[in-house]
Amino acid sequence: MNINITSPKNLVTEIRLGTSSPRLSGSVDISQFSSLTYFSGFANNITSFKGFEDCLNLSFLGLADNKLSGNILTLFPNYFKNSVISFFNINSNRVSGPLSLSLSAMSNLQEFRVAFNPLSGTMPHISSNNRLKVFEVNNCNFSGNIPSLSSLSALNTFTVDTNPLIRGTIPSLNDCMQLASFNVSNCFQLSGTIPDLSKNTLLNTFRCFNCSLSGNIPSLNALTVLRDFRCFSNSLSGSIPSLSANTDLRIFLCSSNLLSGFNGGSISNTVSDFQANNNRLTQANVNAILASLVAANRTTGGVLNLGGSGNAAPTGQGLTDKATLISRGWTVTTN
Amino acid sequence: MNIIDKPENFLTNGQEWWMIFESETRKIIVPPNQCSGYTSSPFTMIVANSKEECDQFIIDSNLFIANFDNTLV
Repeated sequence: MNINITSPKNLVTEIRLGTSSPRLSGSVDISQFSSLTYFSGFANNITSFKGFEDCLNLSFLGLADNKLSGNILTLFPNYFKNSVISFFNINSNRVSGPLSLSLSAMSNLQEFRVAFNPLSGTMPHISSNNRLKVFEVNNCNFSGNIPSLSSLSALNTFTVDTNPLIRGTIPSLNDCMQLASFNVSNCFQLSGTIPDLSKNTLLNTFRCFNCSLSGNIPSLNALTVLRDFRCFSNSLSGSIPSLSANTDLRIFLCSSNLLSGFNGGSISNTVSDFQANNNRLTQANVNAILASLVAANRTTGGVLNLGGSGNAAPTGQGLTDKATLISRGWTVTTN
Repeated sequence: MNIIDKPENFLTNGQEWWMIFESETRKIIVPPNQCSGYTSSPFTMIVANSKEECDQFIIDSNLFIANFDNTLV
């Protein structure tokens, strides 16, 4: 079934297809809707989309979770030179081909979402998009380096995880003062260090697991709203940083690295999942982590894993603290 | 496959796969993993020879993965 929307075409500024069961399917042609500013067709079975080049005011295009297929530059010719578009979302389609270009002409771009499509080539360059808030390109097939994030002062969400061909290093995040969520996990060839995070005071979620990162975990002292930090399965060394300032922290996962210390200090009673197994923690480190979690006095349970190869076993007060956590409903693994 | 209710210092050797789930809510507390050590928990522990066994158990038992504060992960 094709979707055929008719007059009054030149008056319509918004089209929202909504959802239906069965889903709407077929092709969409919006070329007659010259005044259109907003098109939303999420979660249907749209197979092709035409005519947007005739809609000079179209700023919102939402086509996530459809059945669009074919080369992205053929499907959206000249689209990535459009200075009006603010929101572009084609997540979870079957759009393919390289997107190795600069988005600098898209001067009003705020959200760019192309995740879960078999896109290839290097990721688009975005360093000129100083209004960009969301860049979501996870679960594609991009290669090459992560683009520079300098000057992206509005960036809130940066999600490039599960692009196994990505290599190079994590770029500096110092200009990304609004950054709340950052995810480069499952980019197995990504190397270098975790960058300085001291300027990212709004960071809520940081995930870089299953990469090839080395060096130390940077200071997390400035991240007072951090909730979720996952850096497991890398080659990180040095110490687990102090978590005293992270008073809203829920999840801290740093297992399967080369960590050999714990900088001590308090751990918030909001922490319910702390996993540091398969590292090189000493007996003193293991005892200190157990003591910090007991002192946090979380009485509603949680998960703590300090076992695995490389870590020492708790002793003395550490064993007492382990028993205390278990009595508070925690699931605890130690050597 | 071993099913251990409320394990107390149950020893795993790093070769077998194990997981922890809460039987009442069907919530997986610790996803399938290979980690040696002594584990204690107020929940139920599954110890299997392979990840596939754990995955099949998850499907058969209609379990779901969430973190401890019930946020789906």
